[in-house]
Formats: sequence, C-alpha cells, structure tokens
Amino acid sequence: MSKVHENIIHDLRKGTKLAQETLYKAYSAEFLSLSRRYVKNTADAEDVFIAAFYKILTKINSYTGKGNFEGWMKRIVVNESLMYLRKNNNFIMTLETSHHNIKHEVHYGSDIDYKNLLKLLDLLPTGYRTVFNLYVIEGYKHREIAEQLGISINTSKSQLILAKKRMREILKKKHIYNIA
Amino acid sequence: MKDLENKIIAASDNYPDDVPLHLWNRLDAKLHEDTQLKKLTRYKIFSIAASFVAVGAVSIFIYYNSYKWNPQVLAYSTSQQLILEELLPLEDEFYNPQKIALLHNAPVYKEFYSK
Repeated sequence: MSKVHENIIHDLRKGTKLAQETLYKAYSAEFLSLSRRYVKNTADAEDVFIAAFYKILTKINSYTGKGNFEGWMKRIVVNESLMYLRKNNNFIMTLETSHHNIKHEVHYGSDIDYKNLLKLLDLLPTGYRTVFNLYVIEGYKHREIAEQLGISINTSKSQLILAKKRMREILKKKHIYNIA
Repeated sequence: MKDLENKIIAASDNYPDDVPLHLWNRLDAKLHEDTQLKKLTRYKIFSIAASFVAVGAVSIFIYYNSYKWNPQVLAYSTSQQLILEELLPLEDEFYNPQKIALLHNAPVYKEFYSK
C-alpha cells in the first residue's frame, strides 16, 4: 500500500515543509538502504541519498501523476546511484570469475539479514553488483539495464550470470571467510 | 539459486529503520540554500529588467529632446535631420526682417486678422 497520500503530493508541489518532512520520514530508511546497495562506501551512499532526495523534493513538478509515485522516486534514487558510479569511474564491467581479496565475513544460514546482504554485495565487483541489484532486486529487464548502463543486452546477461556464480562461490564457503 | 534470490529480496526489504539525524539537517540546509538562491535569482532578474527599462527611458528622452540642446539640428521621429538654414537678409528679400514690418502693415494682413 502506498505510504504517500495524494494530499502530500499536492503539498510537496507547493514546497510545504511539513509535507517534505513527512515524505522524508516515510522513505528515508528505504532510499538510504537502496543507495547503499549500489554504492559501497556508507558516506558516499549518504551523499547519493541526499542528492536523490533533494531531486525528489525539487523536481516534484515533473511527476505527472500518471505512474506510481513510489516507483518514480525509486527510479530517481537508482539513477542517482548509477550516476555516482559513472562519475567515479568505478563502473567497470568485470569479467573475472574468481576473487582473492575477501576481507569481510559473510554468515549465511537459513536466512540472510540485511547486514550480511550488504557484505555479500560488497564482495561483488561494481558491474556484477549493479546488474544484480537492478535485475534481481529492482526487477528491471535486461533491455532496460542495457539502456540504463549503456551496455549491450548480452553484457547485462553475462554480468548477472557471473554475479550469481560469484555469489554461489562465496556462499559455498558459507559461515566463515577469513582472508588476510 | 531462486531460493537464494528470494532470500536476498527479502533481506533487501528488511533494511534498518534508523537514519542518521544529520542527513535530514544536510538535506534541509540544501533546500534552504535553494530557496535563498531562487530569491536572489528573482532579485537579479528584477534588477536587470529595471536597468533595461531605465536605459530605454533615458535613450528615448534624449532622442526626443536632443534638438533643445542643439538648435541647429532638428530630430524627428523618422530619424531625418533637418539643418536650419542661416538667415541671410541681403541675399533674398523674403528673409529680410525689414519686410516683416511691411507685411504686418499690409492691408490684406490687417483685414484678415482683424476678423
């Protein structure tokens, strides 16, 4: 169910402070975690989150009201995260299949909690992590991912396969990874 | 893998609720800055428009009043300039000031203006 009432959108368009605070309280945790899934560093993820929320609040008039408002906001956060990755030149489509530099511990039992999910995603190269996030968690199609990232559909598909493969490798050694 | 994906999706929904307070303060400061900038931009636009109006008004004033400062040149709205001829009474009797007295006393003139 949508957390945003029509009246709030109306007030947001007028720039009402109370409406802005209400929207922030309702979505800040979700959007901060969303940007953190794409951007490894917490401080950078916070910067992306603020830039995205600022865009949401200041570009509210570009929301036509036709689509889902939450979806519109999420797209802004995802786009902002992708823009950050592009700007910082760490948006590289990796093709390696093995890794040697695992510094974190991943605990994988019957369930994965949020903290371990972040650890797991952080172990993936940026390209794998981004495509995995977009396809598996956000539900984008390969065609959309290819358009968003400026890559071919096949690259998107292969990045996803490699991301899953890498994840399986990590999880096979489940419970403890302790590499110097 | 499908099971794992579902678990990952579920985990991504179980994000922590606590968001550092300083983030709101940063966002709020950015929004405030934006409002100030908009106000400043409005003032800038207003002052630029006002200076254009002022320059236009002064130019129009000068254009229509220039002949007052330079009686030799008459400026018309068509931008044509008319240079006044100098009065040379000896050259042409028409311009002779002495003839004005004659003209003034002429019977036709008197008859016309006495009506």
